[in-house]
Amino acid sequence: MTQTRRIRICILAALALTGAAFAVSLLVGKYPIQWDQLTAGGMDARVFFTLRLPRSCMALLAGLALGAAGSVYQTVFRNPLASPDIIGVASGATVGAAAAILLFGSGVLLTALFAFAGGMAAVLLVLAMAAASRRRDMLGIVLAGIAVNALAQAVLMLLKLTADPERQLAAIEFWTMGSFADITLEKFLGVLPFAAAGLAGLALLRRQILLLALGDDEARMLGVRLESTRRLVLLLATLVTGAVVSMTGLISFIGLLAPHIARLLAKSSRFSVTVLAALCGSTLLLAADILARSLGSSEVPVSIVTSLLGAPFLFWLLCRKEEQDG
Amino acid sequence: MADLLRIENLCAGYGRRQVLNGVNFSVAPGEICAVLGGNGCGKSTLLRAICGLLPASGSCRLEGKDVWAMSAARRAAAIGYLAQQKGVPLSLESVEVVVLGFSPVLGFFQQPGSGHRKQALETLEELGIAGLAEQDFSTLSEGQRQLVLFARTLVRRPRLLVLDEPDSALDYPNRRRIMARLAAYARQTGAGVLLCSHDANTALRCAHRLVLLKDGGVLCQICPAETDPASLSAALSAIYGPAEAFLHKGYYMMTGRDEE
Amino acid sequence: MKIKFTALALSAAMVLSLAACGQSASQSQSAAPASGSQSQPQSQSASAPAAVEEVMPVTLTDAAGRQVTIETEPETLVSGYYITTSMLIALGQQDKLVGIEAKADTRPIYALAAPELLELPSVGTAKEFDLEGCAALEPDLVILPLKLQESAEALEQLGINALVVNPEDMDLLEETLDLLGQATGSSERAHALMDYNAETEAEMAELLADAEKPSVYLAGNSSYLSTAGSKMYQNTLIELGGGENVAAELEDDYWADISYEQLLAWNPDVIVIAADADYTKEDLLADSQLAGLTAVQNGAVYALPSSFEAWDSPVPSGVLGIRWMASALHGDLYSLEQFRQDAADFYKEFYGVEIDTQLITQ
Repeated sequence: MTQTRRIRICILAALALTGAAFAVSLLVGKYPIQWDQLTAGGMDARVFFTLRLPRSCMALLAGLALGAAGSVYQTVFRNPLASPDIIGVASGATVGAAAAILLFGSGVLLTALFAFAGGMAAVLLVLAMAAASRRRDMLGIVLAGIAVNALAQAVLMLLKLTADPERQLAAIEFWTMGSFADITLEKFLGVLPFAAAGLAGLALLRRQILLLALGDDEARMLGVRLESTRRLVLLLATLVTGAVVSMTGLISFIGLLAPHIARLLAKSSRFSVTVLAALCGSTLLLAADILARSLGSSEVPVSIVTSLLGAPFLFWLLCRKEEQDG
Repeated sequence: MADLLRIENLCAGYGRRQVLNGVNFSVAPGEICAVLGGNGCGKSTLLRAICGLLPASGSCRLEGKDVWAMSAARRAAAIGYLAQQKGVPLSLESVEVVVLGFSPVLGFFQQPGSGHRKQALETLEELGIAGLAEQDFSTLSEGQRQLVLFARTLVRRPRLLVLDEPDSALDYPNRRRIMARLAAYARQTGAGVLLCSHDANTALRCAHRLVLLKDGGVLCQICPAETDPASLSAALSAIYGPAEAFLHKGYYMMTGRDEE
Repeated sequence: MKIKFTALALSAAMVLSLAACGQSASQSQSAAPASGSQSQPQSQSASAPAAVEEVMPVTLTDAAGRQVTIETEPETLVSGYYITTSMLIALGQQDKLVGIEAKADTRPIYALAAPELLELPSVGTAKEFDLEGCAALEPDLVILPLKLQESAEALEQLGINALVVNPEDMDLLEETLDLLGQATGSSERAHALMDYNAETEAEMAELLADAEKPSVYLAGNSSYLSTAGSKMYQNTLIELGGGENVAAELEDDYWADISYEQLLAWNPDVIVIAADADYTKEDLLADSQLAGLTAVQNGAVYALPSSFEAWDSPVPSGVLGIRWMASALHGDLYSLEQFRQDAADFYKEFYGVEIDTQLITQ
């Protein structure tokens, strides 16, 4: 029962932290909101309801999504360094976004749509290639992922070559750095159903995800239809990440870092650790976004903050873990 | 009596390397059948092929039904399999690991309930490891994990148990305990048990029938209770090299004999 | 809306119909080489003379096709783009600005003509626009480039008027001038600037009508092995300045990279280095691979001055680029001294500053 209690305490603490980060996120911003004016319907209310609130909600949702999906990826791939990038979500989405930037110029919604389509297409291609190959294990997917990543890089380079360096190329590069600066209510509501559906799906499949963490033979002899289940779980995790990332641009390290923190807090293979990872992801991303919008006189891309703080932290975590395990 | 499991002309291998080349034998209900053979003779391959974990030709029927044509869930519900490679140790309470044994009989989205947990606890108790129930599985010793995984295999009461080296990491008392539990299970439920072990003495003590593998086929089958020391020694010598079987307190035991 | 707009333009045309005669001819002349872009209501009205009386409220169609209604003359402005900021100075609107784009300190013209702008809060870049920071300034009107269209829509939801512009070539620049003139109640100055452009083009065309056209290689910003093809603004600049672009065969719409071999094959009479080049004239002259070029041997390598604005880009003072080019290519017809005087007059008239003409070099 100690494990259960520990997880419960951690989740409660993480909930409180996430709530606090969310509250701070609502309070911090360039516009000095007069809180007593909030119900008056003036500029204060408009800034709060069309910018501040959606932006904070988006950071919250993105953190939940990236944290949970990262945890699922690491479980399914049985690799602590697995991330959506392995099976091409990130590079596919970048190709999609770049194509949209070249074809339609500005237009965040079209870019998001294309990025989403690109990410999903890359993952479907990876899964199809893995299915077509004769490998039935995880390595087949990893190898297909490497191939598709390389292909996507080639296409991306081609797109960049034809891009106008000052504007389109800059826009593509900028997209890969991620930002919550231009999130409005519609954009948040556009992402919400996909992310929520994916997260709900992952929650429903929590027992299957746990079984996928076992060896292939073991999982199969516990009644798992290995390949189709694995594909379904990866698609759901991709749906979640893809939906978020297509609207915000790439957000690095949260998906990798959050599950590690969660596992450090409560070492367990239970799904509640994925919940904890999701909450950690939210707290981290809210904090990163608060920094991103208050560090400089203008906005800093959020991935700069997450990478800058995330990379050393992850290194420290992994080294520490080795020490404990060793 | 009708066979529980019937293997006919089973061929299997890895890529171009054919390991098994026409294996025929069967397991009767309530029978413990042990596959013996030297290292690399294909014991594990045979067990994995029977479970459909490996592409194989020939036929494999459980109570008359083609095992390989069954869905993963139905096959898993009918056959309890204990792998030789014990995979990733999950960080769960041991009782939760045992509850995973119910997976084949749960719906796709269904989560196990308190009833499953209760049965899992009972199974642990039967194996004398109720004390491990709430301990973290990943922190247990190899032998303790083996016992918990054995409990997971038993918990849903499958018609056939396929056990790859069930005794490998166990100390002597635990080895005896699970063999006793196996015998009781087979007797009470009429389920068949197919196991392999690198330790012939375990097999000689608990198995009703020995299937001796050599050169990708069945060399011979022996019922220890119905044979004499000399022919048993001869058969064992054929797969292990010079060996001698002798009776000890009603059971056969085997020792190797140095070649002169 | 189109009808309303045309009506507005027509009524404006009637008010000052006399002044129109002199310049509409030169305007149509200049429109031809500048890529023959599609004529939109704005570009048509751009050729019409200024309306002296400002009509507020006014409804404008901006570069994103949005309808923007301006009820009263805006008292506070935010500009999210350096070209529009410079334009607002030229339109005499700098005192109304309460926020401008980031990196204002890299624009010499601000320090020169409106140093107070450097103290204004930044609303971010075209890539990362600060919506909340902009809202906090509570401007009456925000002017944004086309790539920030989404931000304009978000500002609209906040109840802040935003006008999207796209001044990426000379025609579009004039459209933008016209839009900004109408939006800020300074159409007169906008049209004065447009008139100046038309006059310059006409003057140069006349001056250089019979001159021989040297072949010109325009060395780009990032490297002198990048250049401007026929689709770029710089091509127009070379042609209007009395030269022939050796790279006119290139179809790229941005700086195109070329090889040494290509440059040696073109062997231009004159090399012109872009204003924002990351290298110096000396760098180019020191390159032994290029020593054999006619332009290098004749000392016909010129660098566009960068002390004011990049005259080889579509900025309000970009018209001076044509004059500079003419003075560099045809010094006998239009001397550097004459150009310095004309440039000084331009900045005096439109930016209200005396410039140090010695900063204008070839």
